[in-house]
Amino acid sequence: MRQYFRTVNYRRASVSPLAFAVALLLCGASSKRVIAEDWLGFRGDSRSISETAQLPTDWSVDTCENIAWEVDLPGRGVSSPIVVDGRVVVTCSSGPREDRLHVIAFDQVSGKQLWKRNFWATGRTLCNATSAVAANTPVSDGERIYAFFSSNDLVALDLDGNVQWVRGLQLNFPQAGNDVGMSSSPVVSGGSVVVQSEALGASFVAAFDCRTGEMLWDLNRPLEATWSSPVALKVEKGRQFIDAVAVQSRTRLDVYAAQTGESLWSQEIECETIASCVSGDLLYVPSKGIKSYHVELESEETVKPQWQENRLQMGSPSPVIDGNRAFVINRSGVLKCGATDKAKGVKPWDLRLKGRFWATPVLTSEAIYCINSDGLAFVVSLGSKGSSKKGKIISKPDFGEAVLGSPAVADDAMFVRSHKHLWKISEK
Amino acid sequence: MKKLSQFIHLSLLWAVAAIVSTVTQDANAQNGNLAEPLEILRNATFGPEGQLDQQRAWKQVSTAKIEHLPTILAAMKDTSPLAANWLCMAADAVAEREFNASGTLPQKMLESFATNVAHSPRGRRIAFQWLERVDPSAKERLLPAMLDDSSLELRYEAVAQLLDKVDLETADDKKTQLYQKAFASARDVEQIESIAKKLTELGKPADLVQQMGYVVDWQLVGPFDNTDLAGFATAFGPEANNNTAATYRGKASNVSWSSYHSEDEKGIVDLNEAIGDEKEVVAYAKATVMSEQTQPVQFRVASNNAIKLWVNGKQLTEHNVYHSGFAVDQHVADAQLKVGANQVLLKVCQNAKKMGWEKEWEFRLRITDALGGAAEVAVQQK
Repeated sequence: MRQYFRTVNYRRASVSPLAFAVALLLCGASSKRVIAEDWLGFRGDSRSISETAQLPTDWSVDTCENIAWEVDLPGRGVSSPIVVDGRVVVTCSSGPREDRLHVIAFDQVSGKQLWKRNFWATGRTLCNATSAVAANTPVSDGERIYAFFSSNDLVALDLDGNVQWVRGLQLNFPQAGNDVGMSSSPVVSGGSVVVQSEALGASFVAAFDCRTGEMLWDLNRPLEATWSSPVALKVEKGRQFIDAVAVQSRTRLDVYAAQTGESLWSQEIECETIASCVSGDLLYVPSKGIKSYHVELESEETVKPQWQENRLQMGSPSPVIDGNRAFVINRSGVLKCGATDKAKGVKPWDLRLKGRFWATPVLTSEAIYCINSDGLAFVVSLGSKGSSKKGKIISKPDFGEAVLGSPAVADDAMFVRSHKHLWKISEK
Repeated sequence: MKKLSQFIHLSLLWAVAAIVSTVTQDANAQNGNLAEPLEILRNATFGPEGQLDQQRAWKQVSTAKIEHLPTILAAMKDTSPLAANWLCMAADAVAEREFNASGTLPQKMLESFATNVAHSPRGRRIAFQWLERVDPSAKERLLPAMLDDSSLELRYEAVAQLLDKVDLETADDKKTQLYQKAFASARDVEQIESIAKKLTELGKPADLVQQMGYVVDWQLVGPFDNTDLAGFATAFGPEANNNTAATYRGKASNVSWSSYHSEDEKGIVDLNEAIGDEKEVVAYAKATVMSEQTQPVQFRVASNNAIKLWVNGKQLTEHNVYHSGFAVDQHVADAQLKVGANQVLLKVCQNAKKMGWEKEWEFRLRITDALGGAAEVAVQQK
């Protein structure tokens, strides 16, 4: 029997009506506004895709055309914004040693600052000049926000900015720290928040109870630097789906049970140092191009990839897979589109953009939005949904300053941050 | 069905009790009964356990009235960095709520706290930050007296403000005087190096080695074998006997100590130059540091290579990492110097240099006080 996995959808947690009623009684919880489309972590649900968003295809930060609002940020950051329950949340780092850390929430509609929490790094704050200590994208389960930093500081806040728990993981792992910068973004899976911090001095993956901050488990990882992020998924075992995380290093790919750390699947695979993504029932791994895998729990032997495409070599941005099509941006700034194993009639194509790219592009039903590290955006039209037509650059709006964080998309708006500003791009 | 009814009934009772408890706690906090929750936050640790007690305490402290802000900030003194983070976020929440509600904050209270050096530097930093929001004149009035502040951030801003004033001067003598004043106060490496550059342009070069506390006089020995990176864990001869007259079996031949003086203005000791441009090797550097008093200091080491550091025979730190940066103060370790001679021994390991960017085999080490100012020591020259 094949045992597959699927992506985690935080908003679709299965709660029986009775349990939900009891939970309301016990907690006195106010009903949370359910937004059609939140963007809860790095690349949203790992795919960096919004199937429903209607985004502007052009904008100007100079004339404010299609800029709903712009706010100043108090520090640097290459982390992405996230959008949760009407709030846009960003992290920043500031100060001469960049050891002042900030988590800030803005009203999604107005851009008004709702709250800001500041604290100091307890771990190493050295990083490459291009990057920042605020390199890791926060994640939310819809109830709390978990902000992780290159200094291995991890804090949990509720949506109103109330502190839930505070951890300085370099205190637990004293040799941890990547002086180039550690940019792995946490994920939430099965009621635990999972962080991966891999570098030459110490490497670990650890899980914390979302509510209490209790360290549920931790495991050593290979002593190599990687800038990849874990991916949340559900693994089918018998008749159950187990909440799990996929964690990749340069030489291996592991799937762990999110609540126990039990190894569910492990393969020696040469991985790039950027994050994988889940699309459908496949895990797409950057590995000399892209390889896709089914996770089969009972397999002990080396598993062959379900599909691989060596032509899709990529630079720093993660791949974006919409089932039929796989998009990557290579080190020369070329957007490449290839057909996945599920494709029907998709012809590969290349489109030269310009410059170097850090940010993972965002795919909507009709276009892909790519922003280079100088802040020059390329809106590439793809035609109708699932079209196999070659992409065409239809606009090149310029933010005028470095953009390294991946955009977030929610409610027909795209949120982009630089080291200084956060913009809401929307026709409304 | 009966069980369900009982369960819901009990749940309701529990919920009511919890609400009453919460309301009571919040009322206590607003009335200033903060001693207990503050103590819980002050004792926050980094163990694996859950943090529900701290979570509840934070809620109580963060809902206190604005007049209790100094009490919260004062509690940051002599706490761990992690505990200070709980407290500073609670203080921010109190100030933020008041500022959002009334548009202002009690200026005198904030100024009194920010300028009282008896409080923790970080607590004062928070007070000053909120003061700036409500008193635009605060920086101009207060920062000039903070050039030698124990808060590195306030000192940084004070030096930055002084440098802004230098830019308005036209006379070189006045500029030099102000730069020298800023140079003496600065503790931030970027500020120090940029001021030194300005002073050099004005014909008054500053002594970076002295200001930073770099050790530039060393005894060196090597190379020893680091094949397959095994040398990091191998205790070669100098770790047991670092007598300057000793001879050891090195990687290819016998090796002995030799004197080395770095002429580099940033204190860099280039082992490729001093010992030889080799792969998979280990070198040792030792220095004798004279102190007129028992004093706490920090050893601040940077190296592209794996290192181990001992002071007076006790290992202070080790980092088995190759070519991941060379920033000043990359590794910081606390130590206590004794009166008289103190022996410093540093082990520096180079790898196989497989990549073009792995050529460097080098280090720099400085001895400072807790703020990064050069410690009052003298390095024995030979």
